[in-house]
Amino acid sequence: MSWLPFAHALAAREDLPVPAWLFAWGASIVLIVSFFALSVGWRRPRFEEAHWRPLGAGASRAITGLPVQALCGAIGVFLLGVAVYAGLRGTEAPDRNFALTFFFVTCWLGFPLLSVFLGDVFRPFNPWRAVGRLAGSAFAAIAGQRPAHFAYPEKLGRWPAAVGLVAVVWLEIVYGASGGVAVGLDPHAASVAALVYSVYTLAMMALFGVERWCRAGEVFSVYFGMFSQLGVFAVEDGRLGRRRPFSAATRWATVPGSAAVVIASIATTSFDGASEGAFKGGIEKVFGWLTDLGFDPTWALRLADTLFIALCCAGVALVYLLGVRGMRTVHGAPPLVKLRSGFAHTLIPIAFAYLAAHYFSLFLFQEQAQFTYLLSDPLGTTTTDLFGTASAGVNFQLVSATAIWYVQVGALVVGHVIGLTLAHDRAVAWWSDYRDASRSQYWMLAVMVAFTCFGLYLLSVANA
Amino acid sequence: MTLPLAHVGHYLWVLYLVPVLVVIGGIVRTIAAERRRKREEGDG
Repeated sequence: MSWLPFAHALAAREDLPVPAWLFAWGASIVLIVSFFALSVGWRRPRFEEAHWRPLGAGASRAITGLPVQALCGAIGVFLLGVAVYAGLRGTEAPDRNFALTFFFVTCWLGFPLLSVFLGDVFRPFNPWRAVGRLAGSAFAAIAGQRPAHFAYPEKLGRWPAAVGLVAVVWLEIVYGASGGVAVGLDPHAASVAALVYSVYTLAMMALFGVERWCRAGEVFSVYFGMFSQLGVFAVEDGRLGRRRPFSAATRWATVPGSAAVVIASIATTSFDGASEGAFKGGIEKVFGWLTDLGFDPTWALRLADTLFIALCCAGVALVYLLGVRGMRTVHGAPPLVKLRSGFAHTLIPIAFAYLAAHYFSLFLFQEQAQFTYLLSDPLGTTTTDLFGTASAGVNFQLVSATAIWYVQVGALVVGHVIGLTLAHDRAVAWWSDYRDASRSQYWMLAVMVAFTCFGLYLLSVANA
Repeated sequence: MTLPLAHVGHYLWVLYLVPVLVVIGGIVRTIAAERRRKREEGDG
């Protein structure tokens, strides 16, 4: 085939046994086969009940007890302090400053991974929760009563977290992409944003209560907590226990705004993957129009990126809502409002799959930096070497490009099959007739195939 | 001979759309067939 003068994407990935688009066809076949297997063999719901069982009382006490909780909280506050200080006082070079990798790689990508396998580990390490609880305890000791709070508006649900999630990603990849150069976000700006967010969060905790705000509005608690719903381990009534995997997710999306959180997660990850690949041409075109209108180039680029993030959110929401509307047409379907929130949890594995697929290599490489030279020289001034690893480098040969591609494809396929399974499980719980339940899932199959092919397309273009 | 395919890569997204269209086509066809069968059963 070397005689074909293919430009751009088609010339890439010569090391793959088949063209990248064939993986999308293969993944779609896997989903279709899974759909038929579920239709035949999965006739009663298995995830509606969590079947939570407590672990040994000793282990549970050790992990959930006050000393460990206080220690974890102190570690969280200390690390946030180090990162903010590094951002404010350290080098302006993003790749040499502890703050950016810590905020946007170690925490932003590491906690979803830990949450899926170990449960909601962010909760004890959450620095704002630790400070809020300490302040509440201090208030109670001085005033002799627990602080009073306003009632949180239930209709608001998780919407503040959904908006905050988009804002965090906007800060990282839109505001940070100023001028179109590959320098990323300025560490100073990241630290100022962290301080502003800390003030906002502590104020909201004072208004509505620490635990209430963590459940509804605190971006990181809601976002990482969402992924922990897929996992086996959970704390209930102060006791650590095990539950059926994925079962907790079936109850997570009943709160208003939950669908928006998971849609925002998929959309922002998609935008990050597409901004340098599939959307690049479109962004450049809008950027050109805006600069012609007299906009400053930095803000023209930010506006163009913002428009495409909004389009991504609208596109992902539209695909999901079309799937839901399709289900509504099937005999015996619940009301549209119930369907809309009732199937949002099926997108959580997809959100995780998108994260894993898009950021696997970044995480693998940046964590080498995080635990070597960034840890030894957090300010990036080359004058400190706390652990003797300041001169270490990143081994980019750790995994091959082909291995990364297979991990990406594997993550997407597994995530979507789990999503399809969760949707089928919910359908057999909600439709009284089993055949109608299977019919309703035609539409979720289309949603899953669409998200799989879109994800693989973004990856293939980004990797080209 | 060299084929003029230098920019064919710009239309690669169509290949990723094919499975989605096939699934949607399958769904529409199945639903139409089911409705037709129900109508015929009703008439009969």
